[in-house]
Amino acid sequence: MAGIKNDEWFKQDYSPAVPDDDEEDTYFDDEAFSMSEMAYDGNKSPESPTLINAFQLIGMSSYLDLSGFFEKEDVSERKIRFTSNHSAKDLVARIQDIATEMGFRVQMKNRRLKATREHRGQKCVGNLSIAAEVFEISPSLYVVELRKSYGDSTVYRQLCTKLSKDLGVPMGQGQGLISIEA
Amino acid sequence: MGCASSKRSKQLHGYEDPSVLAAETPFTVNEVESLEELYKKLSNSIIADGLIHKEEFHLALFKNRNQRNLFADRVFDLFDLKRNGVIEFGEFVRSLGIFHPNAPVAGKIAFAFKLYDLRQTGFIEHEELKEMVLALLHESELVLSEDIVEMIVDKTFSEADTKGDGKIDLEEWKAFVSKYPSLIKNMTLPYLKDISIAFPSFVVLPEIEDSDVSVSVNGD
Repeated sequence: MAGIKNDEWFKQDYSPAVPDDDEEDTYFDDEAFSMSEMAYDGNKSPESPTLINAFQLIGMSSYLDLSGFFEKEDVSERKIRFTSNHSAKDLVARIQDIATEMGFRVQMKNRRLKATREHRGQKCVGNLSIAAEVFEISPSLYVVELRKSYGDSTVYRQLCTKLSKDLGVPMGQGQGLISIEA
Repeated sequence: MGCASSKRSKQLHGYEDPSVLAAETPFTVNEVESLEELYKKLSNSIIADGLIHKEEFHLALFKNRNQRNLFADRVFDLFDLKRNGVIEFGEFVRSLGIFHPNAPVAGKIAFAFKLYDLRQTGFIEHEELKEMVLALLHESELVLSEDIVEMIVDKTFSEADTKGDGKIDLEEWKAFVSKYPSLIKNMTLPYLKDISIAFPSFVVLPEIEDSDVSVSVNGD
């Protein structure tokens, strides 16, 4: 059973209509990319967030995401962004904590965090895989992007609500919470 | 005279032989034929004329035909190679081909450049970059002060504009992308690697009655 379960994990790539995050990574040779970025930035530690440039910011636009052709759900159901005044290190640690509390298995990969929750033996209800990434806008302002790789929308929304409530800039203070109401 | 026949026939305009399209894009002939099915659904979703109008494009992508947006418009315009206000089958396949994981990176870089060259001057200007940042902030309901916006735009611009002439040309853009490869991440759709598997989810497009619709045929 465990063996099959392990297989399932590695076979994520082949699930129907499920674009695996890792595919994007391998295509862009993430390691090389992050290495060159770090080299350029001088003494940035591997854990520090990506210092955002305008094109990266623009690239986050849902209107430049053509996956809508292939996804049933609206992009707002699959991806949210919010701003936070917490430090990057803090953000990553807190996201890790919250996700773990909610029963997710968390992996850190460069500046990205991947959290997965899978019920043993099943690959359906309640399962969810998300990716979180932190970008720096200024030393006191960060943008967190949360993307659903696959799985239960309800659980995804729960996770998003909790994270943005705990970590996001509070309402009425130039908040950047994307509405994730259905 | 045109009415009766256009209602009856849903033939594909700008139709090109699948083998021709397969030869010129990363798709196989089978995949092009699968894309034909996708195209038929999209091009008849609002206006049953076998052509993809802007509203139909938006409906397919954003599930909301009324959403108008700077970036959405640019994407549509780039797909509309002939610039006749509609996306024909051939244009659809060739444009999607650029997003294929196996498509040459040079094509993706060029597409992104044209996308961001809002006024099609052949350069990305400072004002255009700022306009796009503001559009993103507006879309995301992110509020950043004017100062911070300026800072981000200035910093990015000066880094990319290595010739210091106040604008970013294709050469500078290419160099910039090789420094930050993730900038063209949105130019690849992993779904395209296996179209037959990607399809099931989009088949659920809503059927829209002709009588419910009031659109301008020219697709403004």
